[in-house]
Amino acid sequence: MIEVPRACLVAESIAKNADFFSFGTNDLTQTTFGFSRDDTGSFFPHYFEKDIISTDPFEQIDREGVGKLMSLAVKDARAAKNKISIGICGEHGGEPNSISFCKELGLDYVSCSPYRVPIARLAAAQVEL
Amino acid sequence: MNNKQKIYFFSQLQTDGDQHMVDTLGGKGANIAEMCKLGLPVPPGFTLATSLCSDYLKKGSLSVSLKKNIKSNVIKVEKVLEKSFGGDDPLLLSVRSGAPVSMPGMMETILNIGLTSQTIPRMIQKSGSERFVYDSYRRLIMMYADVVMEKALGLNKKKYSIREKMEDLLQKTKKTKGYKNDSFMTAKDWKSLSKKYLVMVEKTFGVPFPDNQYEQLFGATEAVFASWNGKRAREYRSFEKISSSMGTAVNIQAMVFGNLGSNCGTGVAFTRNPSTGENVFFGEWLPDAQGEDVVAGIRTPHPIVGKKNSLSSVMPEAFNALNRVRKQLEKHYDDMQDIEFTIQDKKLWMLQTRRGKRSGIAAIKIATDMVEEKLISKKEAVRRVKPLQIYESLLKNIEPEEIENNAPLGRGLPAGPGASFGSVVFSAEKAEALGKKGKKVILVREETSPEDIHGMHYSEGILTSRGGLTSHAALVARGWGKSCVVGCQTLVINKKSAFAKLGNTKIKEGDFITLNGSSGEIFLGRLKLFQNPINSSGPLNELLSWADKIRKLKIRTNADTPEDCERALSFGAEGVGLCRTEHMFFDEKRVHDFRKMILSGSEKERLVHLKKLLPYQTKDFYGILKKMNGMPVTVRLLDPPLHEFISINPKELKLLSSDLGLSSGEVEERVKLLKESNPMLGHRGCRLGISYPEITAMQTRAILGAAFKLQKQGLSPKVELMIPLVSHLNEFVSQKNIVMRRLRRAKNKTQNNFVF
Repeated sequence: MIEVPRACLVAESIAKNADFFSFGTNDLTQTTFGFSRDDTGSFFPHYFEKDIISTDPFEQIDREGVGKLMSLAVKDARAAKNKISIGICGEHGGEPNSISFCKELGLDYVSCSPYRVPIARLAAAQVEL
Repeated sequence: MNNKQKIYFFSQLQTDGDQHMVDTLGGKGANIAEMCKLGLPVPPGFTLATSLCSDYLKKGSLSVSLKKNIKSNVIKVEKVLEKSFGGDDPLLLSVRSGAPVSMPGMMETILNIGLTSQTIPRMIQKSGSERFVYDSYRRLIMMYADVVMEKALGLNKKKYSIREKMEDLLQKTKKTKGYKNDSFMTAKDWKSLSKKYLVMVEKTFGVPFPDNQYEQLFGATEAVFASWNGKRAREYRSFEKISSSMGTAVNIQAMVFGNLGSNCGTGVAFTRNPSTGENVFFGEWLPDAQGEDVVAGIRTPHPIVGKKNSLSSVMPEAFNALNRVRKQLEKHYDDMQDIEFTIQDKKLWMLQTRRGKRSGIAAIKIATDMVEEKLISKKEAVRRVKPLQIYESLLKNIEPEEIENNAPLGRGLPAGPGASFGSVVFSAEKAEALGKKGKKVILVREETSPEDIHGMHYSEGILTSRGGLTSHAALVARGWGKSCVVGCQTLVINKKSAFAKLGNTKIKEGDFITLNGSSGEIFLGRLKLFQNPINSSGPLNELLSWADKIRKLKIRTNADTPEDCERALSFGAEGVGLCRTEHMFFDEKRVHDFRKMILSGSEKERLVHLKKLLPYQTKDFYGILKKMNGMPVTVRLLDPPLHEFISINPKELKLLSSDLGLSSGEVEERVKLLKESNPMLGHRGCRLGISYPEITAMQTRAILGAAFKLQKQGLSPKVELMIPLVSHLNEFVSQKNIVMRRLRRAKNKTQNNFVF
């Protein structure tokens, strides 16, 4: 499970030893930003109000930072093991914009809470259109 | 700069723009142009391009050449209609905003421009109705004073707005005269009210109300441009993430009147039902009325189609014309439209068409119906429905008849979609206490803060009197998919005495209310809710089956129990992407065994306690793997929030100390050793498996036990084992080795395909 930045950075060596990768994007977002998810309530409202960030990175994958780590990990993992299966299992897995990003990264699957499965089915189709 | 190219004329005879010029003409202007191109009856006029808005906002005034150009376009309108602006047969104009993206109600409109002391007598003569003319005049004065003089020019700094002042004066007049509503007002009443309004304007702003038609027109145009940067519009844009640079277009159009007697009327309609999606003409109209009367709710509008007072029965000719337009528009746009129309002397005029907003359920139904009707392709249907509309269609909603039979007590901002009901509580503590017992509660607060999170979690819905769509309550509710209404200004909470007033209704703690988080409405009592089932064959299933053929990404689910798996399978999941094993230990009996295990003094002791956990785990995995037969299931090895396991109450402590054969002091010592200052970065994930390899081994055994049993039964479990929180290769290898050892040991018993 790839959920801390260091794992992304050493993805090549882990991939050589593993059969699949799954990004835990909740923890990866926590550890990349250094935000404690349970404590964002105290400062996120100020962040939004002052336009520090425009979307909640726990809701929509932060492509710029977290996404860059993911992209690096996918590239290195596939270089080490071409056919390695890669997916994500954070709550982002059911969020349309993040699903679109997963497609761009070339992932094999997304995993989300049961209620979000129908949303993900549609969003994953729209990415192809 | 040549302004000529920036003004686009439209009429049934000649039209410069079309529907594709949304960026230039705004949504409204582009669709009006398109309707003209289709030959539909649209009052002539012209659209000032959006780029003129930024020009205006930079300069703060309309240039001389632009004014000249506006004048020459007014002359073109005069020619089409054979009337004149400020002349003998007076032409009246409307000025409306229209941005490239829909911003409903955020910007301004001014009607009846061109009524002056000169044109009023001529209008009375032409229309034959003094009452109508003065009614129109007082509307003009009010809109102009509010939008142009007060908001755009900022002349009045007082809190008591001119619009409120004027509304109050109208109410007072009606009260003194004993009138029930506006329709009792006579020509004389409107005339005298108009005079009072004129005095009020001069007194409030220090300048008279403009009595020149072009002064009115230019003032209104500037004000509509300026409304792009009004407070409401800016807030809406920032919330909806709409760029501020696009600006609004301005539509200047000849007025048609729905309030010129019983042969007139006005209405709004959807070409299909916007809440259910059914292919029926759906809308409302009012005879002898102007557009705002339909929306304002002073008079109860009648249905377009139906028995009593419907447009189809009262004015069949106009209805037939409208029904033809409905079909033509749908065929042309290939989509459900939201239209506005006016009927003057039995003649139908189209004022607006746009893509109709619809509920999630309707979006799905319309898209699939249109495929059947061969209006759009399956691909287009998949493209058209927004993923969040699917989410919305699965939420709880209030039964439509309940909405019809119950008037809302109040209204706030719709912050979290879906409906919910519950008994009112005024504190997060109470919400948690009752919610834990399975009671349905609605948390009612002035606003929420992070300290309320625990209570919000246990609430069905959240209602606040303050805050906007990005307030704490709104963000949290949307994150959790809870229904939420915020900023309900008529809600006054008296926390000390545990009651609140919503408008005039007193609500005590424990009273039931129902929230509609999609509309912002609040109802008293428990309204019937319904939820669309997904696993029935229906439009949603059909649409998703088309989507499945297009998509390449596989969709799995996060599921920790066989029940989760079953639900996800009914939603179309193709495997489990994350099965968390820590939740399996939260059960009261198991948590005790788990604690004994983590508080053990030695490996040997730990193994004894782990053995007790093994059958539980085997049973859990058996259930999940059975449900997911043949599909991949990714099981994550234990990643426990250790701190949650060691918050132990005195009773539990006593039991632990007797079971472990230790004094409670000794147990507390061991608990203390496990306490961390930063648990999220502490002893969790594979770190735990490295400290206690026997946990990893036990979990592997449990999984293998379950898998082998299923294989014996002829099923084919597919397990992928996942090692959590890896940051170093050696962490991974150490855990993998434990698992592989277990697997090798078990291999002689049976064949199993394992990956991780």
